[in-house]
Amino acid sequence: MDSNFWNKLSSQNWDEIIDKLYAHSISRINWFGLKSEIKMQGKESKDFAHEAVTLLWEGKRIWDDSKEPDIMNFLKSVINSLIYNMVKSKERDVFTGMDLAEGINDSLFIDLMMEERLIREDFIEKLEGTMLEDEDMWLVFNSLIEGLKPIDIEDKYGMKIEIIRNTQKRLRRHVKKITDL
Amino acid sequence: MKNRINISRDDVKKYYLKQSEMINSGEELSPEIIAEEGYDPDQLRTEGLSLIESLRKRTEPKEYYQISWDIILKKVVKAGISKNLIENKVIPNSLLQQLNGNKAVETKQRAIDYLISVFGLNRKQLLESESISLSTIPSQLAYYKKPTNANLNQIKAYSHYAQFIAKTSSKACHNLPYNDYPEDIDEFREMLIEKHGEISLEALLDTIWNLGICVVPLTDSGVFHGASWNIDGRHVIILKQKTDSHAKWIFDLLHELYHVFAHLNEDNTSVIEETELSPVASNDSEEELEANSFANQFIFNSSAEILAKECVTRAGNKTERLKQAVIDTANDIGIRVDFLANYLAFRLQHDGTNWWGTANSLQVKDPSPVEVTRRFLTKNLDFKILNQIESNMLSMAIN
Repeated sequence: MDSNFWNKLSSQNWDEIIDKLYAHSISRINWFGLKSEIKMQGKESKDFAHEAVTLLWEGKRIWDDSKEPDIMNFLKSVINSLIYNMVKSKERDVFTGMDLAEGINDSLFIDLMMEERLIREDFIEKLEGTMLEDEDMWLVFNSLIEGLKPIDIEDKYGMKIEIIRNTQKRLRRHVKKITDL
Repeated sequence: MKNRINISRDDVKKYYLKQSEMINSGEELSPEIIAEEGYDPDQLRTEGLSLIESLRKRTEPKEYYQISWDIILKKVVKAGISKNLIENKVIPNSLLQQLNGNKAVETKQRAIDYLISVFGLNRKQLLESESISLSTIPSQLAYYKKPTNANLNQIKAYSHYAQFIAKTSSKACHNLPYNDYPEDIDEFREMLIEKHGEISLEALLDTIWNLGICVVPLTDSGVFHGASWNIDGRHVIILKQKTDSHAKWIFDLLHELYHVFAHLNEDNTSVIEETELSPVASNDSEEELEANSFANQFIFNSSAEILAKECVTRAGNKTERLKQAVIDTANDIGIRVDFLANYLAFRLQHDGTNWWGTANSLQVKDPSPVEVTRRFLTKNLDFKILNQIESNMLSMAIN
């Protein structure tokens, strides 16, 4: 490896990056109900984060910082493509997924996965059903899709930040549950 | 209550994108999501970092390592890092043996990893530059007794090492709960006396650890005498002395504890004690005098000077009678003889009389205070959470 590039990789704040990559992988797997699927392949959510950093360090995925200056975004896009390719390859029984050298940004990944099969109508119905019963969850969900941060929700609706955080946790647990059915 | 809620696929997408944005922008959400998944966030981070470390080593350009270990060592010693510290406390002995005359890149790589981790050195600079400097200060250091320029580099180098040990200890004590600190000295004394009945090193350590503060004993010579850190909200006290006197360890621990209570509220700050602490020092900064006053008040209940005068009166101003006077006064008042003997020795030293020989004969030295302090520390350490360098370094530091 080129020593300048190696130094650039070495000087990244990996303590922070690795946590975010794990959270990213876990979220992607949970949002699209892939938990049992990856289990069958002997994998865990954390493995996608490991695979992404391994591909980067081994030079099998090239990070071009003139195109994407943020290494975190680059690695997230690698994780997205690893997950998407896993889903595609299983579906068609042969590897016909996207080119492994290409990352997939978050917006495209979500669109692709929704297209694939994983956001079913009953998922949305179940989400709606729960929110009909849980006003806090509905308020937090709506505020988040409006682009508000938890602190903004507190300011706008006077809801305590602890309640907002707990509601977010409840929402995450719920999404995980109904996608994994 | 609403009768109907409409969520579109686009809303779901927006929610997912917002979640992603929040993971990216904050540091708090990721450990929360990791824990919800059933992973231990600290352990998982250690696993990930160790993978990255192995990838980093595996892919490192080999042309870097033409330089000999002796030359690397000369550079770091020139920057103020003691060779003795490197060879006894930083590089494990097994690795040191391999370095002698060994040209293998991997051996040098491993040794250099230790230097970089501990002293925050730049790898490129270490391998390619003529000389190196310890440019980054490990945390916002505070010296309430200003160090002289002559030993500033040494202190800076040792501070890197001590901070590494403090950070590693803090990391390994991840299961230690954070408890509220007492509001004042009376509440703190009450906490200790209620559980233990009297002031002893064990009682003090137990009370301090129960507050969520780590205490680490180091036995290296020189450079500085003690230090305290706030490492990302966790307080760590390092006691570093050669004496076996429990009374001195207790005084120093109380002195450092005051810095923790009063001066280390901000994350990543520290206080370094360059010289030996004295309960009667009068030319120190306000912060040092406050810390001494806290320790003296705790031990003597604000009566140290009165007791010292009582001893002198009982001894009829004769030094040879002072030993018995100290024993009698301490027993009458109900405080430990070694505390009073030490105070008197410092007091007399301040006035130009050396009474340390007698004071030392009155000290409690058993069990070894280093051993007692180490026992409390090791009880709380989880080595599994540490990477290999941290684990080896902490073992070398405390054993």
